[in-house]
Amino acid sequence: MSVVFNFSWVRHGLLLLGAILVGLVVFCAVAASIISPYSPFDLDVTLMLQGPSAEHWFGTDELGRDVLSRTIYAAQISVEVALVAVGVGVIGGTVIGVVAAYFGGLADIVLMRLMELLFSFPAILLAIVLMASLGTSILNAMIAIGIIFIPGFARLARATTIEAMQQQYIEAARAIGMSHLRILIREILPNVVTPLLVEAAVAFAYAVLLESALSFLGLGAQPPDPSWGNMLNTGRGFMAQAPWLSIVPGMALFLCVLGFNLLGDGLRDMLDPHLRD
Amino acid sequence: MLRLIFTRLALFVPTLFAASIILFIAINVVPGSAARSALGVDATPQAIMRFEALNGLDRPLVVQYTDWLGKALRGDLGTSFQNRVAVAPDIVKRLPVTLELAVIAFLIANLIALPLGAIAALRHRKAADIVISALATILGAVPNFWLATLFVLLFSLTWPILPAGGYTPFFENPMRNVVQMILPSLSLGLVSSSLLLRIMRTTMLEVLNSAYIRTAYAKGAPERVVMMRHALRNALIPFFTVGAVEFGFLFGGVVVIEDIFRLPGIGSLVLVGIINRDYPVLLGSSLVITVVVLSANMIVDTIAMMLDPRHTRGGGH
Amino acid sequence: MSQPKPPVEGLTLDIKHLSIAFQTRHGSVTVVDDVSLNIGKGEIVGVIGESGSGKTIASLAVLGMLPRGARVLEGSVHLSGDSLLDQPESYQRAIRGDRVALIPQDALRALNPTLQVGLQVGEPLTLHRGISWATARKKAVELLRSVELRDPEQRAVEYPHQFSGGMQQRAMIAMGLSTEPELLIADEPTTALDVTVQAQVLDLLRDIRDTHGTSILFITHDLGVVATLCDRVYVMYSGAIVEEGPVERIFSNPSHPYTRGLLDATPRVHGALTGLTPIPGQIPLPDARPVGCRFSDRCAFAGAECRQTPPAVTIQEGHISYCVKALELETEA
Repeated sequence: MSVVFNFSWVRHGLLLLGAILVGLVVFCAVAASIISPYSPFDLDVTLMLQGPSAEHWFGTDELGRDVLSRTIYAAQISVEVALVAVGVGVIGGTVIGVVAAYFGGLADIVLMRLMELLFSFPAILLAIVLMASLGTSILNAMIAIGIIFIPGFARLARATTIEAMQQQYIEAARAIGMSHLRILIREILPNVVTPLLVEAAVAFAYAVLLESALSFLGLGAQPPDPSWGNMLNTGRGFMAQAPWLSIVPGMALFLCVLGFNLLGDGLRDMLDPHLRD
Repeated sequence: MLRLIFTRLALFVPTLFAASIILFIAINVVPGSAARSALGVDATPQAIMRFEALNGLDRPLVVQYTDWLGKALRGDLGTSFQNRVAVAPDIVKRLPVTLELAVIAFLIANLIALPLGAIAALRHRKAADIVISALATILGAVPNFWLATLFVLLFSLTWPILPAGGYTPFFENPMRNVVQMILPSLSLGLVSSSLLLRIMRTTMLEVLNSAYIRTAYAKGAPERVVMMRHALRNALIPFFTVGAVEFGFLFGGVVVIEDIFRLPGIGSLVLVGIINRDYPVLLGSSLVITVVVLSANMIVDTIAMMLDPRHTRGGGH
Repeated sequence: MSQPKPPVEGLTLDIKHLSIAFQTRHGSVTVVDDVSLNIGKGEIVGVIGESGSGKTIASLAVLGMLPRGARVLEGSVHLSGDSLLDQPESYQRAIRGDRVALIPQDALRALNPTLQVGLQVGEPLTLHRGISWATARKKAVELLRSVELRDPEQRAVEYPHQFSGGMQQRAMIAMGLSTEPELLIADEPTTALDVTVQAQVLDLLRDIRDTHGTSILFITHDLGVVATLCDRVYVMYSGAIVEEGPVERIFSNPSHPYTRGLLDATPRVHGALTGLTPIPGQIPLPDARPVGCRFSDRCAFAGAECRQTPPAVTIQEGHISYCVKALELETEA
């Protein structure tokens, strides 16, 4: 009989790690101008494609710009896009999901079938198609990704609303004549928030991934704005001479996504113990 | 059994129609964007009007849609704005490339996810579980295009053992084809395996906690027999159902991977479509990818249902 | 662990001073405390207790299937003279399902939903007798017939969800009988069934004992079932045995306040309807037991002497009560 591993240490540790990584990214985003050694736009062609050194910890890119600074500033774009996209998704999804659950019947069926269908679309495809019409810019990427998130949050909001509605106090509130809207806001919404928060953390990770994929394809952040995605894209062309251009931004991306994922998983363990193993 | 398949198909067809409507709406979200994108920012109003008339873009959206759909059902996906070449034949030529990539990546993902997920569940909270779960978490955070880039860096540049791109049809040179597929399908498959692994672990855990597994052990069955004869089939049913969502991610990844490795598949056609603002190309290729994904979903769902005797054999006594 | 006592000749199951504890975050928690019970050849012995009394865990120890985190602190378990504890897993696996068979509660959930019933019923034979699946399936049909399932050939190729509750339980019994075990452990096999089906299953078990001489350990919380089926009964409370003896004696002369309470709380058809009296309070958590007699905080007769470990009081030959006031209770009855 082997000893049961003390799992709570591992779980707490992972949540902490996630929080640290996310904190680091957010810090970079917020304090970019303070902590980065150079401006991300400062180019100096004489310094191009230099390897890591004392003056440039992560080297320079094809236009002589400091890779470290650009990596730090790129966090801004990732965090911005993730915030807006998840915001759009949460608000849109919550409205649709709660309405579907609360009013039930035909509205529920139609809305949820629609959400299910949207959910099966390859996300990046839908984003690309949306951006064909909206135009390829960072803002449109935010909107497109946000629209993609709506079905996921709608499904969640609907499930938690249905669960909340089973509770007795909803019947009591209706019995005393509370209006639909007041019930929705006062009784149902607070129960929806917790699992939504967990989903949001995971969605942040996915938003960062999507945005960077779009930028990698040249459809998101446009040069000279630094995004981890477009940095990796330009780095592609110089793999032989300057491999650090392909490693550093990717590492930043990886740590950011990992952080949000760990945060989401950790939060889920903390707030919803019956979802635990 | 046949009735089951028939009903699934019957429900599937309207889903496809709905998907085509969604794509059509998405690409027309901003009216008039097609002409302006194709002709550029400096286009004169007359040029735009001429372009729209030429391509039927001045008609009401519903008419445009039904026209497009009608042609699509007959195999005509329009002609490219750029070079006036028919879109459908190009897609047909590219489809095998994408399918080959997707299938191999899918196989890799499952070959990793199924055994590792099952082992992690079996050794729940012991060392093996922790290591496997950590691996899954890490793999799940790696962007597949970064992994692809790193692979090329390592295996094409640093140690030149694998090609950095290009495609040879299988029947021309099978060896070359397979070698060229290694890095792309690994990049796609490894990252995909992460989610599938976690799904397998969760479903297997639930199964292993079931009363019938305890019965199997109580009969004196060794662990191997319990896993293979009792646990596996019961875990695969929800695994297929939930795991079908991975197809969407897989085919999304195809777009980027084909770009990196210069594979002439439908994914890269989507890219061509968006970069050139070539609406028929973009719409056509997106539609085909979506149809493939939805079909894969439906097939896997149906297989899951067929594996479950509670669906195939009716009620009781 | 203390030296296992040598087994008494002729007993099918001999458990002596078995103590089992769980390792939790709050330390070691004893869930089975110094339990001794035995079953002779062809005897049907009941173990009665509420959930949390430790009866199921004790039976899992016999099967060698203690859950993760549970440890045997002391004691011995012998099956027809063979020691079961402290044996390698391969030895226990050879016995499990062959010489000792489990009939669990909730037959629907205890059957594999994706495997034909016939294959499941015949599985112990392929595991322990090395026969082929085809032969096992044929034997399964016979077994299903022996538990009075109509049209057993058809039943064998069906799936569990196609059976009714009673049929499922019979299939489980058939599964247990397949290897002609010395001991059947029936864990609440009739709890999920309705009364008429219950009676049929109990008759079936009695027939099995009469025909094959199989010993049965019958675990339940239902006094009525014990009265109908069992020869002897052990009453368990919060991990320990509080009373044991022949069924007629226990029912006619309950000599422990807990047993008294159980009988008073059970509706009975015969006798005056004096109203049901549930036992006040709740079964204590294993780490919050009262000092001395563990029933003392719910007992109407508790006194200062109950803070000591209760002694074994022999009321009659074979009838023992673990209560310091057992004999006083008797005169009160």
